Amino acid sequence: MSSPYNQMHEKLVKNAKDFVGMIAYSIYKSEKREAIRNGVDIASFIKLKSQPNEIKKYKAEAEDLANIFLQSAADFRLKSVQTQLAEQINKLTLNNLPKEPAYKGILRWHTSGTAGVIGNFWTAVIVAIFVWMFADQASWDKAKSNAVDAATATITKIQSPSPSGSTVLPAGH
Amino acid sequence: MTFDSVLKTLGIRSKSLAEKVNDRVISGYIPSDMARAIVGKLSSKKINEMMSQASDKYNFENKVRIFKDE
Repeated sequence: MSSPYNQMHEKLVKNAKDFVGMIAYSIYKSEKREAIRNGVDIASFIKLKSQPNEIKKYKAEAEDLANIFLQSAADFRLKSVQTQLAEQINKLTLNNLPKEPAYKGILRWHTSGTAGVIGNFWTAVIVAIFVWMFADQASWDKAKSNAVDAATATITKIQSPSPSGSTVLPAGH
Repeated sequence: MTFDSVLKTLGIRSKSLAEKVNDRVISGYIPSDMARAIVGKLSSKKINEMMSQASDKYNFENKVRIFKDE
């Protein structure tokens, strides 16, 4: 003959598929364990907890806990959906932005990355224009021929470098 | 502590959704208002139905038996 036991499980868990009832029973067992550790009279504890209002309280706590689990799981899904949505909106916005014409790209290149080199070029052009405007014909011709000579000399130097830079080994070696 | 739990603690193996949710709830997570609005407050009967369907589906897909009264 089986020994008598309190009917708490039967009161809280209806059947093997009563998930919320099992949570409620776990809450009851947790409280019972704490009561035993604190030296509470276990018979009076069981008697108190077997009251209908206590059973109702356990079931309500279990239901709240299960709801919190479901809502937390929903939060995970919401976060991933929000991330996907933000990516889609970002992609959509980028795709629908007006495409800028080619000249704007060239203009940006002109004024950004190579601004220093291009600035030097335009300075040289402006200086040349001023010299051309204010100098007399002889000075202009002289400046022009000097510039052409300098350029020719530089090109010649690049094409045939002088042998002074090469190392000459002593005789016999 | 199992080898699997060590890997999960180190972040080498990713945790399942159930483990993540459990960790959150244990640490006192309060669900957002949006999640509350979407899920609402489900009754015990509805939760049990959902769990039963989920466990049946899992058992069918994975050929294992959990929450089975044998």
